[in-house]
Amino acid sequence: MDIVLRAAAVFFFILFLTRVVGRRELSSLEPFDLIMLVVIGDFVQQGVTQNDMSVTGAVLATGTIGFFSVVVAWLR
Amino acid sequence: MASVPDTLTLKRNRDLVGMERRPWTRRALLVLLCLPLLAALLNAFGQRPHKTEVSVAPASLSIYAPKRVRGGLYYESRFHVVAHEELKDAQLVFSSEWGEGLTINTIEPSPVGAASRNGDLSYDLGHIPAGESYVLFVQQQVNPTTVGRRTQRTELWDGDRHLLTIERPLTVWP
Repeated sequence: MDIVLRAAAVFFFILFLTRVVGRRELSSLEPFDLIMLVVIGDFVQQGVTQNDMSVTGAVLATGTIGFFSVVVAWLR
Repeated sequence: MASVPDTLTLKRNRDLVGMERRPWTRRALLVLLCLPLLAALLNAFGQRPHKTEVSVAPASLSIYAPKRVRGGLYYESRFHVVAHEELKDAQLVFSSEWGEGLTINTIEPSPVGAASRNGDLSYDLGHIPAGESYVLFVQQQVNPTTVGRRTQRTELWDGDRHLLTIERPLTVWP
């Protein structure tokens, strides 16, 4: 249960973060921004799946992110 | 007027001929995607704890532990023994399914003794006076390669006297 809630919380935080940071065009990314993207992904993984090593957990986390991506795109 | 790129056709890529059903197919797939997420919110894949309690004249035992878990998860199993009568030598006996494919990280408080009892794990809790209770915390982790369903049996003994048995299913999702 909690993995869906954690994935949802992290999704909306990342959405908020990207709006705050501002740069949306890939062409304006600097090498540091690219490194930050990778680093953020690593931090996010630990927060969402924690020590869960199961396929079920991976499906739930990615499914939640995918679902909210569609919903947010539809709301725009 | 610019020509259409070689790999694109107006019929398919502009007029979307043959893809009329695509939006509804996508919506159906989105609903399908939601089903496991809703099931997870309803605890279908763990790891919300569930309480099981059995009471007999001399004592009662309740187990508070998840019935569904996933590989790698840490979780706690709590065993609460309430002595209705004096238990001179209380013992909790766990079937091997409590340890098979699961790592027992710690048991608090440490039992007076631990032994194998015909293949089961036997923990000696010691003396529990009448009216008092004993709470045993077992911290566990699911080994990532463990999958399947098993029945975990827990018995409460007072010396050589069997008091009660609790059997609970445990499902480990891959």
